[in-house]
Amino acid sequence: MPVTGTVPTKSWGGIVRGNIPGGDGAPIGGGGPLMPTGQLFVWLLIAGVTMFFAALSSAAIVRIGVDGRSLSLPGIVWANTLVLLASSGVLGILQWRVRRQRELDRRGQLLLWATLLLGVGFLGGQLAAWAELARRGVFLPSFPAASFFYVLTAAHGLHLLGGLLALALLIAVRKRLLVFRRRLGPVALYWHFLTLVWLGLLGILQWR
Amino acid sequence: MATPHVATAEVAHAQHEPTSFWRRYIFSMDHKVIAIQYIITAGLMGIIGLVMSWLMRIPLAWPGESVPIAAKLFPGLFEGGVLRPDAYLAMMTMHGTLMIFFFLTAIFLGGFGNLLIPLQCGARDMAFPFVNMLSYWVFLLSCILMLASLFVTGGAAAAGWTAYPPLSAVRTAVPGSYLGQTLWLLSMAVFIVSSVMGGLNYITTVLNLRTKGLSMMRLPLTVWALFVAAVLGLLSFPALFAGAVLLLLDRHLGTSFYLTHIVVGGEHLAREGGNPLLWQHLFWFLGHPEVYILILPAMGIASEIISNNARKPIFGYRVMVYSILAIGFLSFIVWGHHMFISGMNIWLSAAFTLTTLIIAVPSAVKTFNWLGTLWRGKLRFTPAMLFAVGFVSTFVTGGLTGIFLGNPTIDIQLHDTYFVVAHFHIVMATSSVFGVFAGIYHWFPKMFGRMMDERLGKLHFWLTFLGMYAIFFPMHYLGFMGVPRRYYGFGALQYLAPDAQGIQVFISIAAFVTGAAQLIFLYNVVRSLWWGKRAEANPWQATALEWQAPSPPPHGNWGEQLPVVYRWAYDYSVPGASQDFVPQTVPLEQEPTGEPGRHGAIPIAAPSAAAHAGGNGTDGASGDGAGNGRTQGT
Repeated sequence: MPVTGTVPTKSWGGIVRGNIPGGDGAPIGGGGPLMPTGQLFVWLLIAGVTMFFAALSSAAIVRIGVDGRSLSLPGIVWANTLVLLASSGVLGILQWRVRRQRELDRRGQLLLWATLLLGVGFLGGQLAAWAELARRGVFLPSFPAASFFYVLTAAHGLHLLGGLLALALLIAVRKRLLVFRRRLGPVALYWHFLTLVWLGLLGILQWR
Repeated sequence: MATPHVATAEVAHAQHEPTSFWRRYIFSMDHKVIAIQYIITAGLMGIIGLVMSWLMRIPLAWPGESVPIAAKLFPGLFEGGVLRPDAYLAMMTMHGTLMIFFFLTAIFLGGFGNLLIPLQCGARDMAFPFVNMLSYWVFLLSCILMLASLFVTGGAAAAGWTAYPPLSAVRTAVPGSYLGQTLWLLSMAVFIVSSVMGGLNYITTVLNLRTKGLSMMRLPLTVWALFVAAVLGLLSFPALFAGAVLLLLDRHLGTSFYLTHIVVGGEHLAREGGNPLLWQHLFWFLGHPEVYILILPAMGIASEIISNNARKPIFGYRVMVYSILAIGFLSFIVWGHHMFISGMNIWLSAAFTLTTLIIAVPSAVKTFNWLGTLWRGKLRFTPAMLFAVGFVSTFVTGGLTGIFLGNPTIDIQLHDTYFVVAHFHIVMATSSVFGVFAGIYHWFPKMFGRMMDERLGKLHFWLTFLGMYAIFFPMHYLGFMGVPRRYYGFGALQYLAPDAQGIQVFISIAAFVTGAAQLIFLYNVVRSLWWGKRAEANPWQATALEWQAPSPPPHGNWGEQLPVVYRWAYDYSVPGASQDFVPQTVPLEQEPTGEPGRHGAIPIAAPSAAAHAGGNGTDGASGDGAGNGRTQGT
């Protein structure tokens, strides 16, 4: 018998679902969402933030290259980088544990706090790097490589501050396991992304 | 037949409609209210921008002549009855800024995006209603900051809407470079934050909240266009944000990103090595996608209205979608054509020429598809249709001169002349604005539950259509004569042909008349809001989802259950159908479809239970249109 009146569930991007206002949307049969709404939101945010840093770093590459003077980076930024990598690593372990155990035990909570504290430590370290430059007499307007060091670290730091806020909110909901698990993915995604951004910026600042 | 079909599936909704005035109309999270807030605010910004253009047209047509009325109305801008040169520059800057960002971007994405995306996707609201509300209020803040700059010391920013340094970077360059420019930059930064919040919402809603049965390739072209425009905004505005941050640092903290050792007002600037071209690249990396942010939604609106009023499916739906995507992609790699005369490697300019000319291909494809849709249609000339057809006309006129200007050999001659003003005003100020008018005439009944007056609408169209051509077409001639753009006064330049001034007078008069004709539209809106005929749910006999909801739709849009979609949005005049339109919510066993890949499907006696089972069914049943058409056709 010929079949008519079907509703496609998986044509190109053919995700079909219903939704409730303000919520994640309850699938009403057939397909599912492209990805959880929070996750999609963060991916889109990442796209926009990537363009922001791409614009800033292209400007840095051109401007520092034309100027020719380079900045010897304060030693502490390397330690900061390790701290940030550690925070991402700790968060990764937490994600792995939550996926496996489907709960947030005491050790998991410790990992969550550790991520936050390492993040704060990174920001503190970046401020220390600024202080070291200032001691050397290198300020924002000194020369392009210095200007971009300040601008790029500030821009990254402000984005990281947003990430810290998200982590703090995650800690606030740690007792509500369902909510916690739904939010962990998007928050971690953003956090890992900022670690990657920092590695890229560091590369530009060191080798440009 | 046209009754909306709703899912039998399980959607239990807690529709808490806010009852207090503040939560319902002011701090509303309902996308329809936010859409109206955006349209009203953007409309006001548009009116202010229009008045600014009038002020500029006075000295251009009658240089040095005293105009006491204008001077009385705007005492801060006039001296001895004549518009001051610095006020002219400020008006020029603010006119461009207001029209491009605060009127067109806001009304398309904030207004029509908010109104149409959830409705045409069969959603109850945006994915993040709170962020949506925040987006509007942040937008309003940016409007206030921008308008406040008119009243500060030195007046509003005067470096052009492109804010090129050093005019925008040196605080003492011109009066507007002082506080006005700072407010301009802050306002733009806030505006960008608002746009990103809106864009994240629009994209997420389209990707995640489409109703059952509504695959991407069944979306109305309006949603496709708004979706791609939102993606463009999300990816291009951050570049301007980055540029604006660096500009603020140059202005206030002594950096040398764009500034170098130049002399300003007899003083040496203590900066070194900066390059204003850096700003131009960052600016135009946004600036060019931005013009597509303004034209794509107008294209989507025109497609929808032309198909509806020609009573024909849109010609080449899939190709239309691919063209929108192609235009979206190409818009990111053409920005250099704004900088041919800024000093650019000749090979680089050749590359930008190539990409610029390539973008004409998908644009032409769309134009031919509109003509194909109109061809032998049963045309219904509603005001919306007139504006949609007017959009096609002006898009062709303005697009063709774009091909001229895409070639550096011609652009170098014409770039700083009125030819460019003619080109972008016929595309932006006319085509895009026609998209806005078409959209408002078409969806007014859905927004407010009232019909607009058709005779007034037609009068408005003809005056505007002829008026816009009268204003902007002669500017091409001025450009060829070598009349420079952006200048306050050039009446005494010896090389200009004597009739150039006559053309300026003609243009100014046309501008005043056409601008005044917009009062007809405003009157029509106000009159229709109170005394317009009550609109039924589907006054245009249209197919898309929003017309299956009441006019205006209630909070949550769809009552208890969400609509289910069985077909694309362009089932007009399908052979064998009982009417000349079949709403998207009508199952295929009730009416045939003309959806691409399903041609020939005619009503058959398929048990509805089977259809519903298919509704939740497998990929195989759905992937190719279930073979229904082919099975039936053969």
